Amino acid sequence: MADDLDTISKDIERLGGCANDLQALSAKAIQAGDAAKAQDLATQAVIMMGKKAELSAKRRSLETSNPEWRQLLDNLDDLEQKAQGAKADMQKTQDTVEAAKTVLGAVSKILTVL
Amino acid sequence: MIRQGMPVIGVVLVLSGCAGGENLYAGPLGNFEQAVERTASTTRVYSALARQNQNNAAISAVVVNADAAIGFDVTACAKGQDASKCMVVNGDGTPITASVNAPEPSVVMMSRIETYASLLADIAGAVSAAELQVREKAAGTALGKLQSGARALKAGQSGRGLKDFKGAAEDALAGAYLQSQRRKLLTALVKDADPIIAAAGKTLASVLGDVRASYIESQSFRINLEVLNFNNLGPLLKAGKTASAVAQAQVLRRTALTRLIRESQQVQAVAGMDVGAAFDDMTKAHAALLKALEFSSTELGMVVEAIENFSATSKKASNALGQFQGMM
Repeated sequence: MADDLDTISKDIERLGGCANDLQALSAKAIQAGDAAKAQDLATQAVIMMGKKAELSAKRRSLETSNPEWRQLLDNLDDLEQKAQGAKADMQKTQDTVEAAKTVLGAVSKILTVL
Repeated sequence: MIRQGMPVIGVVLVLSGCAGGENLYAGPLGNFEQAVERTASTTRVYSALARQNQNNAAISAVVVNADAAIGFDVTACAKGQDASKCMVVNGDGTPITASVNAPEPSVVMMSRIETYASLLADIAGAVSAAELQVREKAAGTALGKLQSGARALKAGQSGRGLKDFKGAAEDALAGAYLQSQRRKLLTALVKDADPIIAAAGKTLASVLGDVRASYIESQSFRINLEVLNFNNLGPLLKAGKTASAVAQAQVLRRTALTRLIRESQQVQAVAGMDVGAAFDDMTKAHAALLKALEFSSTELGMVVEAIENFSATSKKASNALGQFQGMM
């Protein structure tokens, strides 16, 4: 996968370089008053940039399926489980305290009556 | 009797603040939640931009290909037909743009962080303003009991006074116990989470940074081409032999210009966003929350918290304190 990523990264760089070169040539054509050539070159540059964007998306997709990304998702899942557990523990503690207060109140009342 | 009651008054007064008041980590927790909200919204925006970027690339490829034809099955849109086929497709029937079946991985990761932040708020007992008012009222009642208890003690009516003290002390101690449990659970959780949040923030910032760069690059090239298209329509406007040809050129230029202005504003907005800073803020806010929790677990932290709570419950409390001092 690392090889794939390296190859894609190099291709992305190359496409970016080509697109920039075409763009520069298009700008020169405008200066030279050749609007048709400028438009043609700019169109090719956009196509190159589109290919570059496609490859960038592919690279991101590869990155998000690598072990590090999965490990990070697993860690976040564990964290959620822990947080759910802590929330349940806190709720239980609150219930226990409320119950204890009720019992204490009742005992106190009985003692007062006695 | 009064001497025996004094430490109880002090403890109950301080602890009663803990029963329902603020704590040292409430602010940092709120900051973290807000930072998560901001990054989650940024992630959703960038996910949409990534899709838009890919769609634009696919559309550009079709537009410049002179051999490309597109198709549309009008019958598929009729009632009772397969609505999923009611779409513009390539000549060979394949979709022009990729369909989106699953959320972007970055959105999935961010939603895990959102869930975590919301669970933290649940554990911390973040409550509605209405509930806070109820708690404030309860704290006020506890102070009232203490005042009347102290008066009764001073007047030698020990039975009533002790009962009031006992009730207030029970509430306060229960509140303090809950607060200490809450702090313990949160500290352990946030400590475990800190390196994970930092790593996730860094990863997401890198992925979204790539989306941002790709979007700005592709869009700026596309806008540049459309500007050329617009300018190249100028001669058509000048050379138009008929009113309808001139009108057509004007309509094309108006449509193009309207879209160009909108699209360049969008690129400008994205270029102005600092996605790295948003995730950095989130990571820092989490680290600050951990610090606040750890500090609030120290003796000094508890004292500071108790003092802050005491002043938060406050006018009532300080008035009460003044009265106590006057009585003793």
